[in-house]
Amino acid sequence: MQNLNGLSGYLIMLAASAGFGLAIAAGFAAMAQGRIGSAALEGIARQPEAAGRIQTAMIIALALVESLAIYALLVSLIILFVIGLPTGAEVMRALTAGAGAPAGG
Amino acid sequence: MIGYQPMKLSGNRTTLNRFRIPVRLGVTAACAGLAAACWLLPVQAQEPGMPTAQPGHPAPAQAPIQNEAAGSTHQGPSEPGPGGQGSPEGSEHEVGKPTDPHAGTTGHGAETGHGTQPGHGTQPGQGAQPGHGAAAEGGHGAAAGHGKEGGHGDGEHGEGGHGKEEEAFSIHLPTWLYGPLKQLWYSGPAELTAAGAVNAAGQPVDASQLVGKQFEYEYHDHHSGKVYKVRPEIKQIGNRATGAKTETLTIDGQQVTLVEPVVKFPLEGAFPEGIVISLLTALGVLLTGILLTRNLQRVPTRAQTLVEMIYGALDGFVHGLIGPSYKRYVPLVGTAFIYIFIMNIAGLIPGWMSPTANINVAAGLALVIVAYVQIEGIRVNGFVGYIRHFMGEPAWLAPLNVPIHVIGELARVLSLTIRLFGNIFGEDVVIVILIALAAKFTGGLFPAQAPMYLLAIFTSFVQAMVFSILTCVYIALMTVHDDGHHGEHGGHGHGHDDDHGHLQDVHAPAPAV
Repeated sequence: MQNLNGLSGYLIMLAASAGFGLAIAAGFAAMAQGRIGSAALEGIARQPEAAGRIQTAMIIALALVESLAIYALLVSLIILFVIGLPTGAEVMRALTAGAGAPAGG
Repeated sequence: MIGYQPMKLSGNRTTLNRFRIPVRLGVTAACAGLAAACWLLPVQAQEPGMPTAQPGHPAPAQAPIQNEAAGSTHQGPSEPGPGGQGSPEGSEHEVGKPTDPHAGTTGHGAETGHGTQPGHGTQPGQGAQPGHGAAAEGGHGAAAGHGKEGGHGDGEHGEGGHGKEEEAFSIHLPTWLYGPLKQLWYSGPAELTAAGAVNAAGQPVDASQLVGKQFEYEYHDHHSGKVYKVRPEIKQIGNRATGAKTETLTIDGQQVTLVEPVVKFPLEGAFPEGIVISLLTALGVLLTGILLTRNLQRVPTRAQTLVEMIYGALDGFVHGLIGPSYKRYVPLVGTAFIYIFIMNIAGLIPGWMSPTANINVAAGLALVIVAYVQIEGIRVNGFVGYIRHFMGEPAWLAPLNVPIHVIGELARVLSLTIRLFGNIFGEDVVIVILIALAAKFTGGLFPAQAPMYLLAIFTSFVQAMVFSILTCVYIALMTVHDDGHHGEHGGHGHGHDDDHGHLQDVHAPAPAV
């Protein structure tokens, strides 16, 4: 990445965080939601009459956890679209161009 | 056995059994119709590197590759292609400022919009390839002219194709509404600011000579490609001599080259798209509500039965969450639920967009709800009680509790907003990206976005429900006192001596999110 004028580290971190941030958030959110779901199912299995109320509470809890993953999604969207990252084509051009080609961004 | 109640199973509901076949048929027909619509609409896929087109405004000059399927005719380009559109890489998108239809300004001379981002040089948004923009709108058969909105959520998805000028990827007003609105605000006053002005000889022109002058200008609108004649007045000229974009005009007889001119239309600010669309949607919901609740009769008609069912569901739902004093909150929570649900779903309707995909609309809803909760807290608990609520249970911990509670309340605004906005906007983004991917790899023949529509319906419903549930929970936290005794005293005097144990159970960790 010799032509990226020292921005390579920054861009690498941006790109990595855009991807990994959401992946990690989604992973933990999935784990939490799995536990919520299993607790709800257990409750329903014990008392089928309470299925409606348990389901309602489960949906609330799922949405609360999911909102945390959505926050991470928004951060990723901001990184990708508002801050912006160079396209593959630009990176290739920067790599193959002469010295001093700016990295974009 | 005396008093034995057999368990109520859902299969026993004989009154609704009669609907099961029509409902199943209806759902099947709807799914089939959706799939057929996705399939049959003409799709316009473009080669990468060609300037993109918007709904109804196909790409200039190059004939698009047509992948029409049977049953649809493709009308020829009905409008001249956008002039200043060209970009060898097709459209790029940026998600950001969903409110701002014209974010990003290295555009063709004139650019409107408030939060313009000069120097945004990179190519944002690499979620999809250059064919993205065209395909995004092409996926809805959009090139068939204005009349054929055909596509699903054309107004929103069609905004993909905006050319390289870093248009916000945002979900816009639908095209058929946007056009007349644009006409309206372009016919109003206009202002021009430029980074610099240079006269014919290359010398910088003094700003004071130019400020305040009006002249005829042809404004190229990115979205529609139309050229509008406007009369902007020069507001401000900087002192740069060169820039990314220059425009040579004749002002008062002399040739002036403006450096990076930007034309703004003040009237445009009068119609922020989130407000316009959300008000129109609210109007629709209001009219529907009024129509359905006229002439209520003791023996209900079918429509009235439906409305009663919906109301009964909402009533039970709020009752379960708030408790005995729930009645006065049913209108607010019910309206929030219905309105938000309709707004979320509206994005899936061709020719419309979800207002909630715009963060300002979501923020407005959240602010109203949180403000109402505070007002209810004051009304029910009295002002002193309201402050005590923030101070928390052991009164000597008040300096710790007050900031925590206050920040908790503010965090509720943020979380409600972002949850609603993120979910709805995210599902719109996913749909657009799926359309683009399908268009890129299969030339638009495969409606890859169709299953997402079902998930979108589910998400819309769940998010509306969660918003309403959280509203009820916040109200309950603010108004319910110990033993579930509700503070309906209407004033300061509480009338019971155990004021100290007042808000005890409420100060278990209140969910801030």
